[in-house]
Amino acid sequence: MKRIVVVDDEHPIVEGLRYLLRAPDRDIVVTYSGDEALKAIHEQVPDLLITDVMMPHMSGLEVIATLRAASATKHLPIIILTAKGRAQDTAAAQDAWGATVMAKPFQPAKLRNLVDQLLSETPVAV
Amino acid sequence: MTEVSRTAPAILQFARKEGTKDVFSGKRAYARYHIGVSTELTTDPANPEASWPVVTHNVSGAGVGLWSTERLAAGTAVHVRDITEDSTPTWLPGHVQHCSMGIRGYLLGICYDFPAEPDPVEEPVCDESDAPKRPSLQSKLRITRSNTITAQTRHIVGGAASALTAYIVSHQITGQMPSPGYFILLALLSTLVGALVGYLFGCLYARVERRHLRALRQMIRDVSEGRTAHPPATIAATRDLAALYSSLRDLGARLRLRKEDERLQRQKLEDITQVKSNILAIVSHDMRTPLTSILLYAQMLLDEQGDFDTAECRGFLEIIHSECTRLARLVDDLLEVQRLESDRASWDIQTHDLTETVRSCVSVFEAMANSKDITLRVDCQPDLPPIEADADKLSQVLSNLVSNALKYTEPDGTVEVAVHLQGDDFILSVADSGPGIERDQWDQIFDRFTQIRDLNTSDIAGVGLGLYIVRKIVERHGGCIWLNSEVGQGSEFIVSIPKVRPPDSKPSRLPAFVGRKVVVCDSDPELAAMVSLVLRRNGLEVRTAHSANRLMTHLDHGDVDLVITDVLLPDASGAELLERLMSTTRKNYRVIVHSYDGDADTLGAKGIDVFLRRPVSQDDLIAAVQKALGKRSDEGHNIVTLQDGVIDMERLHSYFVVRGHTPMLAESLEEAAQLVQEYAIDCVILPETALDHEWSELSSPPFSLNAHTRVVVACEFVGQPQQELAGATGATTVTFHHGQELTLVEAAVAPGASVPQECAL
Repeated sequence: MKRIVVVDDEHPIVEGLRYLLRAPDRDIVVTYSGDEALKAIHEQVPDLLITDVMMPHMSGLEVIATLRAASATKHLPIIILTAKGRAQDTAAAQDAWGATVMAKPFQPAKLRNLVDQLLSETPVAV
Repeated sequence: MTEVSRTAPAILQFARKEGTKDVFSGKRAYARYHIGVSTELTTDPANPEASWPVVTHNVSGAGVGLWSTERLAAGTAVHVRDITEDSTPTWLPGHVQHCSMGIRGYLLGICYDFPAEPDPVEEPVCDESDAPKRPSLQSKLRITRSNTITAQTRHIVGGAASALTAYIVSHQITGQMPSPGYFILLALLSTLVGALVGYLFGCLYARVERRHLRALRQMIRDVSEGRTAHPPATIAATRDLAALYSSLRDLGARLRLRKEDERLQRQKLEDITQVKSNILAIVSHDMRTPLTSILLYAQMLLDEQGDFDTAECRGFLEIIHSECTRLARLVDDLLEVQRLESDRASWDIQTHDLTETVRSCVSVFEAMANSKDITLRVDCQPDLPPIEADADKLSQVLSNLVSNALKYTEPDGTVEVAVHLQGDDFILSVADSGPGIERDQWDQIFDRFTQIRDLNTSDIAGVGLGLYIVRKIVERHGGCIWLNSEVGQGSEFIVSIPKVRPPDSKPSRLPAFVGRKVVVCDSDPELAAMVSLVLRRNGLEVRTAHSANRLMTHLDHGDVDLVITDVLLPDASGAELLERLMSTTRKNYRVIVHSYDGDADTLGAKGIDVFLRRPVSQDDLIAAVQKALGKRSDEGHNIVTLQDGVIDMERLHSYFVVRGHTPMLAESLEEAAQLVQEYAIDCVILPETALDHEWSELSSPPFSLNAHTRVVVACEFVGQPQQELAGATGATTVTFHHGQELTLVEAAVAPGASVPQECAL
């Protein structure tokens, strides 16, 4: 059972992602803030995190920084969905955070394929 | 140049050639380039394992911004190495100024630690064209001579002298009229003698002319480099030379004027560009968010319509619909903001009944309130007098507030709209039982474009530009709006609008300080709003804060001239707050403490400029602001100028302000005298007319200029009577023509003696 944690302060987007990525072998956990996401991840380390950047109180990047600092989540696959930023930042974010950046608005099919790809690459968590 | 500082210019040069320009990403102080040059960073240059690759983001004269995967605390000593050099690269020492998070990793600002420049070798005292020496007797004679004899006369005199010499000599030698043979010889001899005499005369004048040429060359150099061009202290040799000096000086002044104007224009342009880029950033983000949802749900409906049941499909379509509405409203708001900002909005000010407007506006929302099970109440004070305002715009304000309230209130909550009269103002309030708004966001919520934002955390999503528009409308009516809220309990938006709209063109009571930036900090939002209103009506730019943290954020980001604060704030003790205010490294703002109790002396000792005891009247407030802003700053001078028809006061004041001085405008000589008495004034600039009958008033009490105050009188022509008067009173007279405000600036702030100086003519 693959676990995906999704975080974005915009409710329609998070709900939409839940519908978009649903599959019988996936458990999608929806959260609406950085704190909630970290709590959910702390409960059980997921196989993938999908996060927004601009959120009140704790930005997506802070969440990622916290996760990368912990050994359990150091190599967690992450997808960043952001309404700001340009194409140049995509490769750079890959190097800096080990995350893939998708600009909003994204092509839903592309996101779905990316998620499939990332999940199939993850070794079974020990 | 030392080896260490050689690499930094090399990076800069590389950046200029290879970097891509990104106008919106750089801050003003940095070169606006994304560079992408790979360099290496280490905290321990001795350990080869301890370095990691970083990417250059931008370069400035003193340091570099780098993208790093590792985080470093501010103040950490680091070394940077440029790995594109072919020769052995050296580590450049520096330290971390700041570290912030970005999409490409951590953005580190590194400041280079250049070694101190070696002391410049003492140059020998240079030639006479620099310092004017006291004229010796010889040079006085030379000058007298040069004043009376022109170049042509020189030659004639020389020639005549040689001919005469020749005749006398020949007569002595021969005792009679010379024979042709001797004559030719003597002619040759006399030519030689004449040439010699002419040459000697020529040498004498050439020295004088050479000195003037040197002075002229120096002046031209000064003018081309934008410095003040000074003619030499000695009076010019000829009228032509004197005219040349004055033309060069005028040229210099004109060039500097143009440079000043260009600098002001550039500043204005940069400010506008910054605001525009803020708008674009916010807009692009606010538009992309609803577009994401629309695209997502539309795609799912198109691809997998069969997988969803009717209810789910309907839900998706509803979301698409509401997000589209949100986008539409954003576009409308943007246009409205544009109209309000450019003052093109048409205002239809009529006297009408406020109760009617409120009731009809709120009735529109009854259906929405019912569908959410929210109780919507209207409480209008009976027998309200009519209000002078634009009814449509007021409806817009109310609609905005009520729709927000309804949006954020849970079902079973309440939204209450109340209107009552308080003195000369109408108080309109919209209260909800929603989640409440944090104190630190109370001022941000009304000000979306020009406000500071932490670029990675968003403010309240979905509020849109509505509150900014509301604020603009309220302020245009001469009122103010503030917010009171308790997180978890609800929020109350309160608008105060005067019964009668104040006239637009009321002159400011603080004319010298129009445009200055003030931050008003108080835990009571109503008081902060009232103080802000008074200051705004007098032409100052005001921001508010309601906590110590928010106040410090304003100070960190902005160009603040004055802080008016209470000491009792919810997140800092009085002593803590004062310490933080006084200890910031770049403290160039004045502080007024506005509190119930406190001791002016102890506060003054800590560095507070003025203490205002509550409750305070409008007059006291304005006087305090005048006093605080008028205080002598460490760098700048306080200058009083007297209103006059010829001098362009606005331009003169802006020249002073740009140089860090504080100009103050006085409407009359009495007012100028008062200002001189109250503050430590460095200079008073008077128009020529002041030299007339009122001059005697200036040198006697209560004007009593102290020894340190310069008086500069701007005259169109500095003639005998002006000079005499100036000499008697110790004032400096400056020749002034329209458009030459810069000469007044220089005369005012130039360090120097108070003896009358005049420009050579």
